[in-house]
Amino acid sequence: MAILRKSLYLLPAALLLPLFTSCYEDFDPGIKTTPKVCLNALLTADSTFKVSVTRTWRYDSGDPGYDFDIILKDAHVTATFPDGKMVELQYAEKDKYQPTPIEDPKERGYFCTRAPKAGETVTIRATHQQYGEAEATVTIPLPVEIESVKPRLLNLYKEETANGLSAKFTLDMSVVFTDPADSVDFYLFGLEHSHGLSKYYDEPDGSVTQGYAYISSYNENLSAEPLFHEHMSVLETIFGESYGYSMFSDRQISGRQYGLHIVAENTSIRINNPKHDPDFDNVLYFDTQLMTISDSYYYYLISVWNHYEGIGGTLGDAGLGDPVWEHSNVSTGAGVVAARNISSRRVYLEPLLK
Amino acid sequence: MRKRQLLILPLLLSATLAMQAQRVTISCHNRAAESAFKELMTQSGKNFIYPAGLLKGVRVTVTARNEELRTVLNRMFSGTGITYTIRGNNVVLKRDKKKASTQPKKKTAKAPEAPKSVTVSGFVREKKSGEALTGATVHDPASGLYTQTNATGFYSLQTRPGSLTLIASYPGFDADTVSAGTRRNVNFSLREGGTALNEVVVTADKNRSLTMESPSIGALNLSRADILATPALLGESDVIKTLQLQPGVSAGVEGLAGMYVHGGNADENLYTLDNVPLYQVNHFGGLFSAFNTEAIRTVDFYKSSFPAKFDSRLSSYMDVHTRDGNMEKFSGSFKLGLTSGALSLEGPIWKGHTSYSVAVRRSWYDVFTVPVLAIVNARKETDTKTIFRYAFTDVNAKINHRFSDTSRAYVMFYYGNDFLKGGSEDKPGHHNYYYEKEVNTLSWGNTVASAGWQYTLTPTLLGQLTASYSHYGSSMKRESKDGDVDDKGDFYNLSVERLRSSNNIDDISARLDFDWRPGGGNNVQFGASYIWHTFLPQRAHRSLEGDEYSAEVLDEGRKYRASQWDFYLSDDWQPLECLRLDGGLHFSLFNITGRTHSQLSPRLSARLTLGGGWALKAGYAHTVQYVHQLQESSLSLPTDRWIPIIGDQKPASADNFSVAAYFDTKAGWTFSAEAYLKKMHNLLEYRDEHYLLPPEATWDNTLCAGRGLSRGIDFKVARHWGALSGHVAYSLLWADRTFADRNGGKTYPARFDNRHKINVLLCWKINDKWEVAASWTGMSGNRITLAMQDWEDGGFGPWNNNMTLVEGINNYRLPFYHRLDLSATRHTRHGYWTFSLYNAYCHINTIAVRRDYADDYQWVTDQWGNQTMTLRPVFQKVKLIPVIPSVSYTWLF
Repeated sequence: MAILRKSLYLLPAALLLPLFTSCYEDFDPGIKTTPKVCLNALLTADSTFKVSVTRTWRYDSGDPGYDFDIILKDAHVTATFPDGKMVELQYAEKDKYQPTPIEDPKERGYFCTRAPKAGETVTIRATHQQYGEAEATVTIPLPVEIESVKPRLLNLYKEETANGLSAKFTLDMSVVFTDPADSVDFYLFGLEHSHGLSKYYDEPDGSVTQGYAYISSYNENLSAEPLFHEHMSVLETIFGESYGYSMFSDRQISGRQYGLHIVAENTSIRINNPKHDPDFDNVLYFDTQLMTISDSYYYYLISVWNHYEGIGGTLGDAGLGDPVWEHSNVSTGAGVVAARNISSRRVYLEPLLK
Repeated sequence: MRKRQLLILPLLLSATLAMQAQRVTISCHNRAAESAFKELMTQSGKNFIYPAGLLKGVRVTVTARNEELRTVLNRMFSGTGITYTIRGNNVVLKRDKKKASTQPKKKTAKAPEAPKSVTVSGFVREKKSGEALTGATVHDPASGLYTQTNATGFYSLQTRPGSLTLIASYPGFDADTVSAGTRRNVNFSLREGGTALNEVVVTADKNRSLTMESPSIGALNLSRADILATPALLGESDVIKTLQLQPGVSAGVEGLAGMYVHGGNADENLYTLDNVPLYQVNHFGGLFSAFNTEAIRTVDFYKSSFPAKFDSRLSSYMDVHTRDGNMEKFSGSFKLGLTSGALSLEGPIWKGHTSYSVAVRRSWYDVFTVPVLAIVNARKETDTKTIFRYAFTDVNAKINHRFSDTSRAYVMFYYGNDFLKGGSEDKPGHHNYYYEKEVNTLSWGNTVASAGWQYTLTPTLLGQLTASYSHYGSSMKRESKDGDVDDKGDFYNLSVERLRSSNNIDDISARLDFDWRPGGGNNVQFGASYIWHTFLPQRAHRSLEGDEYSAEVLDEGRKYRASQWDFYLSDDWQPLECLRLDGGLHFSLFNITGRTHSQLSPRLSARLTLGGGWALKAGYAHTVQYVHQLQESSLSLPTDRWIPIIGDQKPASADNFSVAAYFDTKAGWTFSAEAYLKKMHNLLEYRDEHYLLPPEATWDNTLCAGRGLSRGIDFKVARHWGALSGHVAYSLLWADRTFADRNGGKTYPARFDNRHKINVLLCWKINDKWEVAASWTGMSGNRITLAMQDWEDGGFGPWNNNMTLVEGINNYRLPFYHRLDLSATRHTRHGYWTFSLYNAYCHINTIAVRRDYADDYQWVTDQWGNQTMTLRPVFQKVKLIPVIPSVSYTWLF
């Protein structure tokens, strides 16, 4: 029987093997390339912003940051606002807030001290002596407020203690907003959780008591909201992955009120408040963010999804179809100058658990 | 007209003189005439046609050294009472009438004036099975007039009155001589054989006459035997793979049954099955086409000048005629290959009147995968069940009934389907607290039902009425369930997601075709057809159900109904021995969403035969296309939707100009050079960044219109000589595209702009038991788009990746492609074995280029002094198919 089983495994494999014995050979395609100027910036309404000016590089020439530096520090960068004023941006390197060990500890780029307003159109131009120039224009979107968030807890498992509680649940929310009529709007939804709180109390006997409250884990299930899938064909839904992508357009909801269905599955929290300290009140929450985003931002996200998750991107990367490339609104085809306007609502968890 | 004839006459005269200047060397003394002719045939490459008994007892004596054929023949026939004429590649022998006229005539009363000509018509069929023979020659040796059968085996010959003796011949078959007497309906039954020089021998390949006689440029006729003789991947003979060996036909990606003709796209080829258009002709990944070779009787293929009957596609037409079934006796075959099995049965239902033919082909991967998976899934240590099944099926069935010699009807059914299912399911009891099941199903294929009635209205007019229904459909389904399981095994928190997408075309059609041979060298074809199309380009449905919520989305699934009318008229006219013209018009109307598009497609081709085996041809064809397949890749995927033109889109059209020269040598070689220029208008392609638009509802907005230009020249040298036949072909091609919304409006090369392509095919029938074949293909690589540069991601998305910069579509040509395929067939008492080697010298060709990372890690130091082990980014050639041996056995019964 064992032999039979082995044969049954081996025979189809033997039949199929010749078709799937693909092999790979490194080579130089021999196509000459010329680096171009790349602009990246994310403008947020009422906030100052940074423009990253880099250059493109040949894919097989190595890793930027290791083999060579692509940051252009000597470019001439300007931002032009609707009132005709042009702001010259200066290159600077600032310390990054809590960088990870493998991350560049500095925030580098050309910083603009003027904050754009909603509805303003800003043009950014960079000129470099060696690599030429690049230009992009973006309009800061108008805000769309979150009208309400209707949260509820499903599958609640709660264990209360004298000093607090631990709980596991699915947070199911309806984030309601109204899409403005007579305009084409693009959105990005974001969900962030609080960092909680940790406090130490010195006891008279010299010992230390710890109080804490935190959200230990959750799984943001974006598949519950159909609008987050509108960019996916059925086949892509089968073979692709939508995890992490929450952009959508008003194609199906134009001018209507709509409730986004957001699910945070397997959410676990723990609260230990031995001193009944009021600082621990309402420290656990989720921030729901509805961002209206510029078309350049939306198309950039869609293209990134298509490239890395869609079938077209997979086949294109394999050389079996037309390639999918990332959308750029920069004149050189490299970089994205995006804009957003953020509307936020907070959902406190403790009242829901009572 | 007279003026034109006067102009042509000197040309004809010189051509005739040149034609007769073929030289032969022979030495024989009192030798049997048949034997001497066999030697002359070998040297001159000409066919000798003569009635039975003409050469009986005739012996000839002649010695010639490099003398003209005509001079040698004059000497041979001197005093034998036999005369001859040379017509094209045929030498026709007959009794010398002058000699007969010297006999004293009896005085007779003046009889009523006899008709100047009579028309004899009928069918030429295979004796063994009753199948029609396409392209068979029917010849009247007394007058020297001859004609050829059409796809239904019908012929009509206008000849001199009198007691007729007609001869029908077909390559590879013994000729059949019928003394028709005064009968005007004469049918022939030819017996397979034709290897010995007996009554009449025609050794020429049928395509040689198509090349030298017909005005068509780039036309080809393939029989089932031709397809079977071609070495193929996994030993699966396939008509499309056979056509890929022709000059001007690119194969696309290796191993796939793609077809790109003269720089056109894959959807620009019309495939018809017994007059019914098919939309999906590929099984999974295009590895095999939907045409089961066992069901094929003959295939006509056109790539440069097109008969007026065909329109609706820009680049080529492939007309597949299926087997009618054996009228005389039951027969069948069963084939078992490495990937599929095929059963073919045929026989009489009512002997001599009604026959049936059934051919079934099915892949048998699942015969292994189902039990293997059952064993794997039954193992206790596995937590998850694997679900997988793939199968393709083709069923061809036909019933054919002959009411009389002039009336015949048939019903035909075709079903072709692919089914692919995959997924996984958590085993109950293994995941006590979580359960997940995911099943994805893809299915696509065609179903065709048609009926036809063929009636010989007059001896010169054959009519055929065809009515059909065809359905093309592709669908994708996904069902995923996940939830929690309690200790009792009950589900809770169950979430079920269902997705379904489909693309369908339903066609109901009726068509009338007439073949009229009124004499005077005319062959008039005319007809009309109507198709009621129902297109469903895309319908998608999604639903999500949970314990306490549900959501449902139905994307637009609009159906588009369209009416298509087609009318055509053409005349293949031979005003002079050296000149043949084929002119025609095809008029079509396509009505969709309240708009009517009309197109007039003129066709003209001409053949001028010069002396010395030379023929020149020129042609023009306008073609039009109302439906397109949106191909996202060079694989044949179910996502490749068929769509009609709608809104402001205009029908695609092409102007095909072609000129050709042919040279046929006495030694059996045929040389051809066919040049073409194809201008394509209103082609549809996905626009740049089409993927930014939602996938459904706005599919037409993802497209843009543009133009294409192909030009090139196809050279071919073919030799069909006894047991050895084959060809060497070379194609030179330039193909490019210009779209305002693609590649920034700049012209770019087409994906299959294979600049140089060489094909060598050799088939050798060693003896009655063994046949071997070799095929070598070499061509410039396909073009692909290679993103050479990257740009830094701003980090505004969920993940941080390097972004690609595409600077030109199809900017890289893959390395030169070449491979050798070998096959050997061993005939046994009950069937035959086929052994084949695909890519015999194992040159693994590059089918794509990918951007990846080298296998070896390297230490690198970043600008901040950190050391990291990293893989180097590299471009990699993707090479796929090595040598593949295969074997199959076909049992004949």
